[in-house]
Amino acid sequence: MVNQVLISLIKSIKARNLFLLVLFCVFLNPVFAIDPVLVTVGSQQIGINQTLSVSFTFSQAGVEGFNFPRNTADYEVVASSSSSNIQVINGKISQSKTLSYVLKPLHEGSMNIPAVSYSHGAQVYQTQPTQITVTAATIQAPNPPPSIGGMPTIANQHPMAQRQANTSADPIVVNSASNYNPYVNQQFFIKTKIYHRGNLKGLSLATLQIDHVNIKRSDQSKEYTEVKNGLEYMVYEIDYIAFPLKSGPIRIPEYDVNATVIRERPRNMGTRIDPFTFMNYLFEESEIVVKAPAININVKPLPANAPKGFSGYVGSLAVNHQVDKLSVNSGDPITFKTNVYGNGNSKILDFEFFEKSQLYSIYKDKENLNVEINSGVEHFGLNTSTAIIPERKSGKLIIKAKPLISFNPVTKKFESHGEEEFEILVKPATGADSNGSISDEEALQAKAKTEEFKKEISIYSVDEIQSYKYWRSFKLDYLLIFLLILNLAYFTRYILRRVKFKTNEDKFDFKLLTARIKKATELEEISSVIKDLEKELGDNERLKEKFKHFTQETDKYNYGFMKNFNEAKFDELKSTAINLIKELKVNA
Amino acid sequence: MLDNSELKVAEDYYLQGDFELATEAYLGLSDSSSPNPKLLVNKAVSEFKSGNYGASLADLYRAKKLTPRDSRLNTNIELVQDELNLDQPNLSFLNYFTVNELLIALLVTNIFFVFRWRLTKSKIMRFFISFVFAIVFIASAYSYIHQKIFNYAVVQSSSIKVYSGNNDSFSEIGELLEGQIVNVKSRHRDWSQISYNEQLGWVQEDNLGYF
Repeated sequence: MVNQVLISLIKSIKARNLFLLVLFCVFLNPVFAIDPVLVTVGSQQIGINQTLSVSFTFSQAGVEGFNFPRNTADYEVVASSSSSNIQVINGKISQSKTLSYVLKPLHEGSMNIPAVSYSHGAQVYQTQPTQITVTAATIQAPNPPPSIGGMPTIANQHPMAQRQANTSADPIVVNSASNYNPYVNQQFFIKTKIYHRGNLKGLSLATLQIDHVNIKRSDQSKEYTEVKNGLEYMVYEIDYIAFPLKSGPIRIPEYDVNATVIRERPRNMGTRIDPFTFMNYLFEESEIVVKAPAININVKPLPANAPKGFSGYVGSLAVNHQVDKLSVNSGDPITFKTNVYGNGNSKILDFEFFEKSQLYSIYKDKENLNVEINSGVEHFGLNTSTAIIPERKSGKLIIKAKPLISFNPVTKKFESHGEEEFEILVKPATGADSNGSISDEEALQAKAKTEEFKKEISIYSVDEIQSYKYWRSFKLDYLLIFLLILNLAYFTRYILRRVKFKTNEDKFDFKLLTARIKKATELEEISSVIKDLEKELGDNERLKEKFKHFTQETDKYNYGFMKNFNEAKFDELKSTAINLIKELKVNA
Repeated sequence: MLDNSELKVAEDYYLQGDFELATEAYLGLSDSSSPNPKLLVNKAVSEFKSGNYGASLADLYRAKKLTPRDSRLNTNIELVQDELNLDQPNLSFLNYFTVNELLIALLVTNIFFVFRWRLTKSKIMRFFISFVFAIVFIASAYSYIHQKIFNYAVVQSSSIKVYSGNNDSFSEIGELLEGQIVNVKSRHRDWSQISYNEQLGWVQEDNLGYF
């Protein structure tokens, strides 16, 4: 019974539909393929002074191209680790890999963990983006050191699990400077490394204030492991960026680092038994103060042969001016965009870039300053625009950009940046009289120069690069192939139907057959048309019978069995034949 | 997602005139991010300024596949080609649309083709619609297949030898100059078969930049 139902069901599905269904399943399979990655986020809400752990577990081997963004506007990665896990269940080996990252939020509000793309075999996948809420700093954990995946700190595990840890060892603080002999105004950084054995729970650092040194703490702290005196330590590193303001010896004094550590609880039997703290009886938290050692720096004076106009800036510097046009109508503004990059103290630079003149007026925009820290060195990028309006009616106008003079500590030379002359062609304002108008030749030259300027090979700015959004098409490829095959199937069906229809039309060209019968003067002609059609009637028994009856009757007259054949009978048979063709047409 | 600070470092190198360091910085960024034509243009410009014209042109054409109608990109291509002073094939037709745009065109024409009988009952209109869709479909499919297959490459070293077979024991049949665009017919191991002076020749892949 069931078999019969199944067979009738299968028979009812047309072969073409089944084929399309199979194709659809085959080609759409990759679109709905399950991503072979599990993303685990430590918490959906964290404090600004806390860290967040994010783990990506790949359940399949062969994942490639996974690049987790390490520094974004929302967070920075302070530690990362990877681990592999192999399992054998019922003789079947399964392997997984976990990539863990510890993120430090950069601002309060919403922290976006973006989608990360990676490939597995021929497929490209993307993880789901995640939003984390970053709240104000939490009081309970001032400056907690982030835990490195794979090497959790004691603070993140129950003390019972940490019997093996060396809890008696207090943290050690080591201070060092990137340059003990900097020039005046040359950037250097002080590195404070706190070595601990996994027993550091909290940390509080005093603000460093040193006379004649402009110093600030870098917001990029790091955590890593390091072997010191044969022991493996976890290191929490904090950098301070400093600019010495005068030459001579500078002492960065010893300062206090307040730390919360986990120590083994003293074992005196007389303490009160608290059943609710039973699990913590072996360990206790202690507040300790560790001294960060002093550092002596000797600041060198700058060479005496400083050129005129030297700003006092020390470090690398690049200045770039770009003008929007080289030809302008009198009274219209010319806009200069200026970019300044460097790793020195930007505060001492003069940002009045253009020389003043009676021939034009200068209107400068506010500077847009961005500061980034790379490899412990602070870099700044400044951009601004200056509008210059020519006062004169027409002719050539020279606009001079002033040099920014800096001292480069690497080459130990004074350098000049951004000194440039711009030749602008000023044309009379539209509608003005032609006094002082330029010649056609000059206009052509100006046009050529403008075209030349426009054609200069050039790079895109950081913002322009960031504005491009890549749209992947890999999944559409499969959909397209499916549609192509569907299209091909429709087309083939259409062609086949056309061919079949054409054949039938030739065979049953009703108009032609009717015309032949109408024109016939002999009964044999009518009879032969009907006999030809009789062969193509197929399974229609009723029509077959009618056609057979007609041919039998005409045969009787053709072969002389019936004597009463006359013109009236001929017309009657003609009319019957035409009716038969009409009936056939309806059935066709 | 591209790191702003790393982009600025690369830009700094470029603005300071350290074009080789800028090239390396842009290379590192483009390797670690999803395809970005503007990043490729910056790398190409740095390569151009370093004197690597072939590599620059290859990167510009790679960028053109992603943003084919970008005027600054096309100006840069013209400038690099002017500098090379070589006769180049005109690829503008084949690279006028992005792969994504061609995909959409193909999908739309397919869908319309399937449902074309429901659009109108007029036989003439049906024929006209089918004809237009067939033209769009064929042109899009041709461009799509052309762009999906790496069949063009730029010579990236000052000159490379063309051999009659796929190793250097075969006879030399000619030489290609830096920046020259070649039509790649097939690839076998480290060698590519190219059309050269209306015949087929083989060159080593190390010196070619595919796009």
